[in-house]
Amino acid sequence: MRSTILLLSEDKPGVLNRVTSLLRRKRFNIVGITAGPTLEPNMSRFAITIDDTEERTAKIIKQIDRLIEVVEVVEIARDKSIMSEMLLAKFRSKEGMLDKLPRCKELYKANDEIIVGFIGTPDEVDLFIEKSKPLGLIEISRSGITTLPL
Amino acid sequence: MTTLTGAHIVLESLLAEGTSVMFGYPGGTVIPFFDAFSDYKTLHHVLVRHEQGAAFAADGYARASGKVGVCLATSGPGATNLVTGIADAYMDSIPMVAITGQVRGDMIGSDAFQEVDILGITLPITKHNYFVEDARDIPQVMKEAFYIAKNGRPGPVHIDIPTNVFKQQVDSFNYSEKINLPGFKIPAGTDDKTVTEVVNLIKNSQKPVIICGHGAIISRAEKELRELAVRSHIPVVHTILGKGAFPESHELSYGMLGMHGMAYANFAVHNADLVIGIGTRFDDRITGSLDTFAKNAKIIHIDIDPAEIGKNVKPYLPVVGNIKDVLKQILEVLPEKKHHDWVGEIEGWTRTYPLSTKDTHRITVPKMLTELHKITEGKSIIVTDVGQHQMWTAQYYPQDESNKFLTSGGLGSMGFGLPAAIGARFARPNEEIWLINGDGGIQMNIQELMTIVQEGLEIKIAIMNNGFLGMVRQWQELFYDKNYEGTPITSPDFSLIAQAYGLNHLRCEKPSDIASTIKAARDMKGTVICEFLVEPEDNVFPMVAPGKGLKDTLIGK
Ligand SMILES: Cc1ncc(C[n+]2csc(CCOP(=O)(O)OP(=O)(O)O)c2C)c(N)n1
Repeated sequence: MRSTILLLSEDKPGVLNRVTSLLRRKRFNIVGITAGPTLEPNMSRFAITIDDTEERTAKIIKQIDRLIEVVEVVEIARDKSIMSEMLLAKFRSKEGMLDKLPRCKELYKANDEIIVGFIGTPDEVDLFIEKSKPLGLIEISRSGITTLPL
Repeated sequence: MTTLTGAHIVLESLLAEGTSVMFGYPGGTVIPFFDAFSDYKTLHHVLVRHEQGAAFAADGYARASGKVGVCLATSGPGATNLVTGIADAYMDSIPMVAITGQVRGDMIGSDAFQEVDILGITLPITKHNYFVEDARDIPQVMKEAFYIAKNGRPGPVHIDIPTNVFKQQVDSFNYSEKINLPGFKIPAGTDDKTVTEVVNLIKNSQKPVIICGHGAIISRAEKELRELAVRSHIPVVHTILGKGAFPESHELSYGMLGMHGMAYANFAVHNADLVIGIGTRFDDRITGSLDTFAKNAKIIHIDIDPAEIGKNVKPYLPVVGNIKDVLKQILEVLPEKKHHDWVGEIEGWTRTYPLSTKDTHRITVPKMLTELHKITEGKSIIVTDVGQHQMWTAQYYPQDESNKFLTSGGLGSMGFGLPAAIGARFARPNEEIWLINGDGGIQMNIQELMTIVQEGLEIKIAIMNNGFLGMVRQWQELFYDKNYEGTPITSPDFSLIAQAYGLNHLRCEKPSDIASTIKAARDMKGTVICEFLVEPEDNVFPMVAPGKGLKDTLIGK
C-alpha cells in the first residue's frame, strides 16, 4: 500500500539523514521524499512516500516520532489531502505539440528542444508521461510527492 | 582559573549536572579537555585501559546508580572503541552521555589524521547525537543531552566536539535553565477509560500473569508493582533486566521467563488468559516463536515508548505511559481478587519442573552460585558477563531488590562484566560486588584489571573456567552435532595474572571447597580473582530452542 507520511521537524542539520537512516534500518524503500521550510521559522516539513504494509507503516510512523527533532508526524490519507507532484519534461520540439499537452507550462525553449513543467497528482503525472512519449519525450525529472492535509 | 575555554564549559556543565565521576581515555583532540580538568578537583576521571571499558564502566555506573553515566574518548580510534558500549546502553535503555573529541572544524571532511565520521556511526545506536560547532553552544547541548538521556525512555546521547571548540575562549559560563525540545515528548499517566479497561480485564481474568521488565525498574515502580500483584493475586515473571523489580522470594514470584527462563514461568505465560507486560519489549529471547506466544491470552502492554507497543507482540490493550503513574492510576480503582486455582496450577509446575542441574562430581556454576547466594544472603550486587554463567546467575541468584543485577541484556556484549563492575563500584562504594564471568568474557576486557588496581577498588571476581566459550559450545552440542569448532579456549594462568597485577588469587577445584573459597574471598581486602574449575560440558536448562515456542521449553539434557 502506497502511503505518504508528513512530518514537521525542527530545522536542524542532519534531520533528513536521521529519517532516511531510520527507514533504511527498518528496511523500507523510499518511493519519494520532498523537504522544505514552512511558514514557521526554524521548522521544516518532509513528505515521505513509501510502499509497504499498513502494519509496518504504522510502526515506522511511531519510530519516526521518536526522533528528537520531529515535532509531529502523521500519515496522510489520499482522500483527505492534496497530493501534488511536479514534473519537468524535455522534448525534441515539434510544431504544435504543446496543444496536445494541456495544463503544462513552457519553461525553456531552444531551436530543437523544449522543457515543460507540469503539476498534478501522481496519477496525473503518470498519465502526462504516457501521453508525452509519442510526442518526442527525451528526459524527465519528477519532484516526488508533496502534500498538505485538507 | 585563568581563561575560560570550551573545555571548561564542558566540565562546568558536568558539575552542574551533578556528575562526580567519568570514565575516559585521552588523545590528541581531547588534550585541551584534560588540560582544563586540573581546575576541577571534585570531578574524578577514571583512566580505563581501552575505550570500550570506558563506555561499559559508564553503563555499569548508570545501571547501579540510576544516574547518567559519562564517558569520553579522543577522535578516530578512541571514538570507534566506544561504539560497542554505546550500542549496549542503547539496547538496554541506559542513560549515558558519551563525549568524543573530533579533529579541528576546518579539517573535517578532509580525512584528517584520526578523523572518523563518528556521528554517522553512532546515529543508529544513540537516542540522539550532537555536533558542537561553537563553544557558546555547549551549555545548551550539555543540558539537552543529559535531559534526553535520562527522561522518558532513557538512552545514550553522544556529543562530538572538535578540538578547536575545546580550546575556544568564552566569556562566561551560564548553564542553560531552559530546554528547547519541542519534539521530545514524555508520556505521563494514561486516561481513565484505559484504566477502567485494564481493571475490567483483570476482573474478568481467571489466569492472569504479569511480565515485568526493565521499565518497571527505570520508573521506580517496584512498590506499585508489588501492590498490583498482591491485591489481585497475580503471579509475576520477569525478563532478565526486570530481575529484582518484584522480590524473587515472594510467593507470587515465578522467576525469569524466556529462552533460559524457568519452565514454570514459561508455562504460566503460555497458559495464561491475560498477560500484563509492564516495561518490557517482548524481545525474541522472552517470547520464543511469536506464532505460539501467549495464544490464549489477551495482552495488556504498558510502556512509556509508544514505538515498543505492537512492535513485536500485538496487544489487546495498549497503554502508553510512565509505568509508575499508570500503575498508581490502576491501583486507585483496582479491587481485591484471588486466583487460587491458577496459582495452584503454577505451583504444581514448580514441583514437576524445578530447575535441574547436571549430576557430576565436579563444580558446576549452579553449585557455586547456590553457595554464593547462601553466604551473601542474596544481598550482593551481581555483575555478569555474557554466556552460560549469565543465564545461570539469573536463575540461581534470586534477588529481592532492583538495580542489583547488572547484565548486558539486549546486546549480549561479552566483555561487559569487568568494566561494568568498575562503574558499579563507583556508584555503590560500600556494597559487596561480585562479578560472575566466563573464561572467555574475562579475557575480552582483562586489561581493565589494571584500572581496578590504579583506582584501588574492591571487586570479587569469580571466573567460571570451563575451557570453552560455553554458550556457543552448548549450541554446537545441541544443534551442530558437537562440532566444537572455534569454542575451546585456553586461559592464562590466572594466579600469575593476579600476581602480575598485584591482586589476590584463589583457585577452587572441588565442590567441597566452594564455600570456603567464597568465604576466603570475602575476608580478603581488595580485589580477588577467584577461579572455579567447572564442569566443561554442562548445559543451561531449561531451554527454548531457537524457533520454538514457550510451551516447548526443554527441561533438561
Ligand atoms: C562481543 C561478543 N562476541 C561474541 C559473542 C557470542 N557469544 C555469546 S556467549 C559466548 C561464550 C561465552 O563464553 P564464556 O565467557 O567462557 O562464558 P560461558 O558461556 O562459558 O559461561 C559467545 C562467544 C558475544 N555475545 N559477544
